[in-house]
Amino acid sequence: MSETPLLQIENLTQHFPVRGRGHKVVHAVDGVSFAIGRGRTLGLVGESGCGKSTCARSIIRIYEPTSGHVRLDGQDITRLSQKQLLPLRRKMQMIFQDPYASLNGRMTVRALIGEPLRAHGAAESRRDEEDRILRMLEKVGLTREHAGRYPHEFSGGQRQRVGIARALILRPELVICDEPISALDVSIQAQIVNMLRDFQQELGLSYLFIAHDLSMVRYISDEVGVMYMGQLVEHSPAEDIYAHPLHPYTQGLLASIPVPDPSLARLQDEEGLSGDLPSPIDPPPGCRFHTRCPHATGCCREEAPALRNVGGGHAVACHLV
Amino acid sequence: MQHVLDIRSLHVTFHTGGGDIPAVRGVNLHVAKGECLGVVGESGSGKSVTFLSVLRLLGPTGKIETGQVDFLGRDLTRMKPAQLRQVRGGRIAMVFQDPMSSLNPLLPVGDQVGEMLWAHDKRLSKADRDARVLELLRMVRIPEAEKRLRGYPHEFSGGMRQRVMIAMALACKPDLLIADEPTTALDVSIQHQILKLLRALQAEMGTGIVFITHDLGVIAQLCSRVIVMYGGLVMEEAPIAELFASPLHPYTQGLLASIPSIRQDKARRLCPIPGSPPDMSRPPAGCPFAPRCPHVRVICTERQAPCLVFSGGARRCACWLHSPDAPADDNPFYGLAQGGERP
Repeated sequence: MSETPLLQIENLTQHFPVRGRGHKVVHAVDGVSFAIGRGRTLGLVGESGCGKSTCARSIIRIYEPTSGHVRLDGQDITRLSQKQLLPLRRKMQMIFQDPYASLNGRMTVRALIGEPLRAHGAAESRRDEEDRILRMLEKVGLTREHAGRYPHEFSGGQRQRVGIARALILRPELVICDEPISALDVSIQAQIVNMLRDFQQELGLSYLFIAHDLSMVRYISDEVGVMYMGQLVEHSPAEDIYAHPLHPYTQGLLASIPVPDPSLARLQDEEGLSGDLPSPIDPPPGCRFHTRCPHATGCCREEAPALRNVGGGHAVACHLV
Repeated sequence: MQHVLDIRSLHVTFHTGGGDIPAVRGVNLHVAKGECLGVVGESGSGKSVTFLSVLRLLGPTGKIETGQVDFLGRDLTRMKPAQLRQVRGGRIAMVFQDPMSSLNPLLPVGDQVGEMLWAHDKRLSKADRDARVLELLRMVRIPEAEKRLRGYPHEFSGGMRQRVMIAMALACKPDLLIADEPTTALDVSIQHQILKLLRALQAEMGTGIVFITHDLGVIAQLCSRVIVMYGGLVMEEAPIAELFASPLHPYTQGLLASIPSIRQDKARRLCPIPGSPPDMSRPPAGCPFAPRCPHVRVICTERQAPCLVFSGGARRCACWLHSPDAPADDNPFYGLAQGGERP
């Protein structure tokens, strides 16, 4: 690749110690590597507990990664001090899942959207700050009359617009969207997704888009990564992964989506996934999916498969492919 | 076909400190014996409140103002508390969204399922009860059931807890199971397992199911008939295939257009419904969807449309544009609408 990708993570690992259990750890993220180019979107999917949100939080160092490297614009940010990191935080911002919990109820919308500007000393004057806040409000589809109001006066969709305004006011290059639409009503989800797509085109943003709605992820992403128990098991261009899923886990996940079309194959014909996630404290040896995999062999129980390229930018971690 | 449940002009209001909230404003619907009825709507549409009021579980602020809820010929709104207790969990069972908070964390799950049996049949011996609990846990496909029944809820995953809830709900072989977003808190893979289970159990036991959800995909996979609710009213009712093939109400049309399919052309923008759902503490005078409707007329903002019947009674839709006397000009439904009759 000639151009350095905007975000590059290598072997990112995030373990959390378990209190009162000796030296046991939760293997939340285990050796994940991927890159996101400028203006591109990587969708990250998987069941809850697979480590996709932890991965996002380790990237922006809400958590301190156990090992591995995170490079933003070629610069390794994994070991920078919080002070050194501050100027770089302008380049990467996050949109959270719950627009009820992520906004301080005692702050007006003006103060909420202006907070990042103040934290980074980004506004030249009070006047400049006010101008930028009002412009941002209009861009996310709210009006200047909303600036003096408090979060409880807004609906979920409007709050998420405020959350997006907060993330975008510093003109970041990378935006991490952690389930930005899952808490919203169906008719509102499409409004937010359209808005995120418009901003991407206008500002050349890169997104790391985390969600469990697989149809929405396919729609917004250029590439899709599938995570299972802290590891990336499949990674490919978005179209490809839905048309030709290679990993048995991806296949099972796709077969589980309820298709909003009554004429298509109904439940009983679909295989889906059986069983539950094993404990992330003692992940199964070998391929972590072997306990639920319909095709598992002896080899899968012993040796962990590596993520390898199978052509066309499609990578999969499975012995049987 | 015989109806298990008949709801007639149900009005429910919550009397809160902040004023009255008319959450359900005249709902009519029925559930036939052994069918799976889907109820779709956004938050605040009144879908959960409608079915909570069936079992009179509205809490201190909610009140059934008018209306009838006939369950196998008996009006539940007038039933005495003692009789109602036999219906609750016995003849009509409910499964809620959050399996974490619906189970008692201090009791083994087997005891909780057994309590359900005991509450409705005091003559059942302890041994018979234990045998039945084991049978129920096996029926909802809990692996190693004889071991797991002594486990506590925190030892169960979300999907397994929801299975326990379903086992409890089906313990007394109810005539009707009301499932209020039972899979919303679960992952797609687990949701798939639960939906398959519900389908299989329904085929085995012939229980009528009301499945409340906001996910049209789930409805398409599970239900045979759908009720679409908005702003405390039924907007549309149709057999499943017809709802997806030819939605009649502009709200249903908007809802279907706003979800991307797995084969969605990525170059095309999604078509969201503009605006947001109405504030039910101040419900709009006319059609609740009027402020967001692309085809809105003056009459829509003044009076709620009557529910018109189509396809010989199999479908109904509350929209002025489908009315036989709606003007032809600029009416996207004209011609199509002529099947509409007043009930």
